[in-house]
Amino acid sequence: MSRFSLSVRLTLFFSLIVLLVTTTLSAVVFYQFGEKINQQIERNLTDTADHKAAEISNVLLFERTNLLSWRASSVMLDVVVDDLDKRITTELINLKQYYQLQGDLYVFNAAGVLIASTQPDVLKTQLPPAWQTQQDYALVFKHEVPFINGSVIAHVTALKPPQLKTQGYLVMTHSWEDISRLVAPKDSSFALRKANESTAELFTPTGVETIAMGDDFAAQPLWTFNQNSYLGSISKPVTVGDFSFQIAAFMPKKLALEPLLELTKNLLLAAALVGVPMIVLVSLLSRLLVTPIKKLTATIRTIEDSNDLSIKVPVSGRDEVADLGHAFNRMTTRLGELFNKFVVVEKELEDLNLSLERQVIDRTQQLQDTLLKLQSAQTQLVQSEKMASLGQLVAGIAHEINNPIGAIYANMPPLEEYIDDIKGTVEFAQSCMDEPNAQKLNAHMAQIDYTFVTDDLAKLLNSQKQAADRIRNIVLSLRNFSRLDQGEIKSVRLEEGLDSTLQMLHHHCKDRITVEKDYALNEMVECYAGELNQVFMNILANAIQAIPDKGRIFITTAKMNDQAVVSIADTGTGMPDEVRKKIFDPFFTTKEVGEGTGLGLSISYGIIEKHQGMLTVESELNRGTRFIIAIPLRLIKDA
Amino acid sequence: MKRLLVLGLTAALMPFSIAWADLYIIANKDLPATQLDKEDIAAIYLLKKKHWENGDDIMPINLPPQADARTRFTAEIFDSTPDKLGSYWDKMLFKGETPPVTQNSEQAVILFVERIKGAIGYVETKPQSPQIKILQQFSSK
Repeated sequence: MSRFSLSVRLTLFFSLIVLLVTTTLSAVVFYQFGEKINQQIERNLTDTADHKAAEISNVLLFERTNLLSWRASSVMLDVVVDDLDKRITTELINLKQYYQLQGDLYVFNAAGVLIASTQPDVLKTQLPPAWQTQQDYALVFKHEVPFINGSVIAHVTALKPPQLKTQGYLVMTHSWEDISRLVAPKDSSFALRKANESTAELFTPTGVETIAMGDDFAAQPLWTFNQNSYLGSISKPVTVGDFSFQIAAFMPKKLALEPLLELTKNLLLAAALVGVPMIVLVSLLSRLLVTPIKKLTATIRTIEDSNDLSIKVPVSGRDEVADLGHAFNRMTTRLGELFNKFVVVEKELEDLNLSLERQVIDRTQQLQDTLLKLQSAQTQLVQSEKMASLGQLVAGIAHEINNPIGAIYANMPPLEEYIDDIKGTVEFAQSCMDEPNAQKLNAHMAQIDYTFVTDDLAKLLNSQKQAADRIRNIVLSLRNFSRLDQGEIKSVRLEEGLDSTLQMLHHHCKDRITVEKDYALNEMVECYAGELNQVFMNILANAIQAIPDKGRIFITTAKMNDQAVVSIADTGTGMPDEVRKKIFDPFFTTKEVGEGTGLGLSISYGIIEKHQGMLTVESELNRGTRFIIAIPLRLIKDA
Repeated sequence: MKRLLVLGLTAALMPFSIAWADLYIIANKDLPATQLDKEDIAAIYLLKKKHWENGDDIMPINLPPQADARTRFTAEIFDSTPDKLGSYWDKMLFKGETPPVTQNSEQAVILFVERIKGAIGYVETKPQSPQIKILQQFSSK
């Protein structure tokens, strides 16, 4: 695409055409005219040269004719008697006056002595060698003679009366200055070339110059002298007597080209006269053509910028551009309608899209929730299954251990009794023995350190009794913890569960952790006891793990508005907020991979939720953590 | 009328020129002829005799019409007047014959004859030049 507008291009195009036509016309005219002018100039120059040559030859021929006729005058016979009677002198003076001769007339006698002359005081002069001729007539061109000032041309004719030999000479001179005046440069410059010479005399305003000029005059198109170029032409040879010459006429090239320059000026003027109005007209026309298109374009731009398809193109006239405008208006109307429809559809589509997206998000969320629940449920299921089997195992073991322990426990009192009996028997035996036997016995008793044995036996028994007692307690708490009845709702004392759990964790905290209890509930709580115990287990285990070295765990139970509240606090490391926020998330763990499942607290949360209770946590970094369990005293059965 | 006037004038002048001098017919010394009678002279001046015996052209010399010598010569040779003879020469000129050369003075005539071999002239003064020979002499009456 050109970056110029249509109107500029049109104008340029027409300007180019005008230029082209003008140039072509000018070139043709110029060429033709130039040729003609050149021919004309050449012809004119030739004419001028011929004319000049004729002019000069006329003068010379006239003089020659006159001279020849004067020679025949009978007076001239007096040359024989050396113009004794001065008749020739008188005649010469008369002729000079009558013909107003510019030069002078001379008559020499046969001996070459001047006997008559129109020039005074030259008589008796000898005939100059230049004038000596054997011919009847001779034209002596530019030359000097001793008794005449300046150069002259001389017509020399022999005075030869009929039936006589040459008796003298009649000479007519013509000053060269006068002749050269004829060929003085005016519009043209002239050069005179004598026949068969290779030079010519050029007449310039300041004098005469010799220039080279041969027979091949026409071969040289341009002549250069006085630092100017000239066109030249030469006349036909002209002969006066036996003197033959040619005249060359020269015209300055500048002068010759003047008509051409004039023509050029006129052509340019004509071109301007035609071209300027034409270009103006074309530019006006193109503007007239382009303006509606520009308006149309402007309107289209406005529509583009504003997106307002209701804008109409102003249409005037009935031409093609008007048709275009109408068509465009129709198109915008149609487009507007389509666009409105499109906007409505687009809006609907957008809404639909939006709702779909929302739905997808919702569904995804639901799905994620469900998945989480499912995962959690699955894990819980696995865990509870694990717990259930563990509980069964524990219950079984507890039961199995319970019987032998019971036996040990039950056998303790009779064992004590029997030992007391044996001790009394020994003392009786001592008392009833003779000295030597008593001594023997004493020695034996000393040997076995009887006193220590009896003392230690009591201690041993006591210790056994305590150990058995502890076994019985452990088994009891195991049974309590596992609760074979788990999954069923039971009314239990929560404190029991707490104690059992502590009992099970006893070996973890033995010396380093002090457990301080404040049980203020002491009421039966309806709950899934086994699961609740699991919750206690999780929280207490975490608390023990949170205490790095030595610390304390506070366990309180309380009743608050039909709710049982258990608070378990530790003096452990506590946790940062970001951890605290996530501790109930499934599979979230702060422990090493493989150590924790990340499910403990999540399951606990699920269990408390199942009881329609609340599990909350408060924690402060490096101060400790507190878990608060709140469950209703009476379990509300959900449908 | 004009001729009458001239005749009258001549008649009037007659008493003053009663004593005529001698008339000499002269020619160049180199001419072979030594004697020339009246008829020959007349034939030469009437342009009837044009060549000498040796074949040279004859060139008669005249004097101006008003010269005494011419009047005398005309009267002596032709028994006529210079006017009559003049008109004869005019006629001859028209016929293409060159009339006798006219010299203004007797000296000129003598010089002419001295210089031109075939020339013949008449003078009243006897020439002293050795180049001239006298072919005829008419004594005064």
